[in-house]
Amino acid sequence: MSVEAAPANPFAQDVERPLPEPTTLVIFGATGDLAARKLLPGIYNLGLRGLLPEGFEVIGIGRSQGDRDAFRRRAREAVAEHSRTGIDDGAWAALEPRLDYLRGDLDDPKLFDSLRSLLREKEGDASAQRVFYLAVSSAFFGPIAEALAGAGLGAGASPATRLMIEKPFGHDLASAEELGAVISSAFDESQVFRIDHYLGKETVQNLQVLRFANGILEPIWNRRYVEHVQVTMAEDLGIGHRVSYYDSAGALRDVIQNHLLQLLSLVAMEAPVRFDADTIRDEKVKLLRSVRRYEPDEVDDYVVRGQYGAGWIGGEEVPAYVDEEGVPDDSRADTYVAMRVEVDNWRWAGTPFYLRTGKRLPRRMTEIAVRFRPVPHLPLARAEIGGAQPNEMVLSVQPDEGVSVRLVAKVPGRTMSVRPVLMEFKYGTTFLGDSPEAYERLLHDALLGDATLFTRADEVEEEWKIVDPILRAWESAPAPALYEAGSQGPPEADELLAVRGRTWRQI
Amino acid sequence: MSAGRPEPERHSWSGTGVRVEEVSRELDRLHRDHQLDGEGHALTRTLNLIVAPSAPDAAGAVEAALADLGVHSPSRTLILGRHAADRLDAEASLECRLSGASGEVGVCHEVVVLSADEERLTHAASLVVPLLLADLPTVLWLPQAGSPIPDPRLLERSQQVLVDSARDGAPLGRLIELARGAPVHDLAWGRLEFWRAATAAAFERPERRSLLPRVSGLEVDYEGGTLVPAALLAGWVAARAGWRAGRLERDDGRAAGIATRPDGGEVTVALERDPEARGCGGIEALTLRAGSSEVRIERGAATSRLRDLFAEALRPLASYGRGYAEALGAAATMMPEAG
Repeated sequence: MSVEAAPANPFAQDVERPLPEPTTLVIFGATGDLAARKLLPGIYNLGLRGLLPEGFEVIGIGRSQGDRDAFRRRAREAVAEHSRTGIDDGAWAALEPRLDYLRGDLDDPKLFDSLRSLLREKEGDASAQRVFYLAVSSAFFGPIAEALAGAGLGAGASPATRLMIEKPFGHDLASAEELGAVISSAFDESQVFRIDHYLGKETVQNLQVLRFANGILEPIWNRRYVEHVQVTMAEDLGIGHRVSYYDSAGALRDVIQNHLLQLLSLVAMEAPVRFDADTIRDEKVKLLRSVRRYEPDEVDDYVVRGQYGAGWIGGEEVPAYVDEEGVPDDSRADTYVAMRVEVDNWRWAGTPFYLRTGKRLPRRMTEIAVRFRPVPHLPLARAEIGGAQPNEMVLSVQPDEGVSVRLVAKVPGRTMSVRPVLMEFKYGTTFLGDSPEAYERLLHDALLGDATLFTRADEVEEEWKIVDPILRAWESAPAPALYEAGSQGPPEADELLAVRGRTWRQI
Repeated sequence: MSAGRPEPERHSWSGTGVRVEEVSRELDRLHRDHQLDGEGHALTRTLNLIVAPSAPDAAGAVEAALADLGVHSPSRTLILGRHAADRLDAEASLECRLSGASGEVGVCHEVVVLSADEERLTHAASLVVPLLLADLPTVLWLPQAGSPIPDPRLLERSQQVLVDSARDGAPLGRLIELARGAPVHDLAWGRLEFWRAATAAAFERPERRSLLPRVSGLEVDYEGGTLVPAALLAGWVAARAGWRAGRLERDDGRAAGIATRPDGGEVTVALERDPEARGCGGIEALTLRAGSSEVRIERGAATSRLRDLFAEALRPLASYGRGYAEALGAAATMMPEAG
């Protein structure tokens, strides 16, 4: 029988989670922190769950001295330390022979010739796809993409190739466009998988199911019923070892431009016709385009930036940002940003979205809080309505994933006293089994070619268009407001909400 | 992952010659006591799990499986046991575990062991129904699917029946009978998920699919112990390839026979024991031969933790059992006495 007349695959009908095609995964920066903490444990756990295909190979590329055996030893240590399931000797023994290492400098053109040779040598004619994960500084994204294309591994390559990169995608709109142009000259957009690891989190994915699979929410998910929305990503940590990047980037670029604008787009976008990659991303882009761009002279009215001073967190005294190792004394980096976002479309006009992120805040948490409008009239005596607060729906992303709804209930007793009560749903109490890590999910999706949870080039561009005017305004603005480490942020941020009695939710 | 997690707190109560209302009342009291201790925990909201009576030698396996479920346990587990005395004895425990990470929710689950005489067990539904948590799915776990269910009304109260044909020794024919009456989720089938996916992936390539009408040999290498998983996998391949299964003859660890392709051609089917096998689901390799061509699928790194298997099997999804009935039918034809 000829290949053309091959019958349909009779085995596929019973498979809920198909395996990716045979793949060679090439990790640039394989001896770095991201590979050790997330990628190698993610690959291991995919193998453990039986989600890696026959013919799966890993080539780690790094500058570190050492050979294949050294890389395997290092990888084993990384998995043992960071895998969410620990390490199983049998499972490791099956994965280990699939790991190879290529030492070289990323700016050495010979590296890419060596890579091509190694790919041929390892795969023969077996590999159906090659995935390049750039776990390196974003300064190398463009050069690596060009070098890969130059080696015949970019657009139109056979076997097919994919490129995985993670923010930052540029430093501002101009540099993002420049990087985008380089990437798109080397790879087709369908080959590029831009990671925003927040999109790999269960609660973030649940946001769409919650909104679009629950009929009771749609009628109230608009300006008529929603008074305002608060999106918060707070960290208790300082900058750690990221000084060189963070001091020139700041919180606006590091968090608002990507994670929080992604969350905003998922909360506010229109319903997609289908849950597929481009349909969802089309809706997200449409929403981002409807976010009002501020003129430089408006920025002060809508955006507050801060920088942490010394303080106490968790019983430990912590230094001010400028006293962190490596930070210049006169640094103007923003470690806190709060901004009011206006979405100028039919659904949301007049309902503000407040985005807030900061380091050295009292605790680590990410949540989306939807505050509904109060009832028009409370038929209670004035003394009895003190506890009545408007309804609120809170989607908690981390650390405790779940959804809660605040209602008002009567306090048992003779009087009509009322107080808020919570209806809660917690992932940890409702579903059996461990959720995969965000990177595990995203790696698997990329191997399968499913781009739904990845950011498209036009999304990145629209995000920069929102943020860019703020960056320009800040170039000539006074230094960021100081806030005490462990506090709720600079007091100036409270003024952003100080209309109609709005206040920030406590962190 | 249990490393780093604090040991669970346990509050318990037991009674001899009790009534079911008393058990219910004591469970409420355990919760109140726990709250009064100042501990803030949420009760898991997953499902009710009823464990059918098993022989004393199987009780250890039940206990080990429940322990492995750990923090992911069902909300309320009701374990039925058999004793000689003419009365109902009960042990109730509330187990609460704080999460390892700060800020994460701590959860509690409840385990109730109900021990009764034979006559009461023939009315087991009347014992467990008052204790079921409302609005949660109910799963009936049969640790020994070959044994009769003491009260058939237990099946009526359950949305799913959980079995493990690789462990419980039930004849495959008995599983077919069960599957006619209720959705059966077989953990052995769950363990074979990797093999189904790998087989499907192997035949994604057209040149391999073109071999299918000419396959003349199927071999499954399995680990010692039971050959049920191997028979299920071989049965599934046969069913999906459209072959008519034939009986396999056993010879020590080997079972071999003939299946018939739709064009009348013969396929030699062999289940070979490999004492070194360590693959997922007790399978080491699956090989299909067509003339001089061969498609061999080997175990990867895939493993199957009992907790994950339970999590998969307890999902109320019809997709879990997709292909199971066909595989079971073919496997039972090949090995009617297997189990």
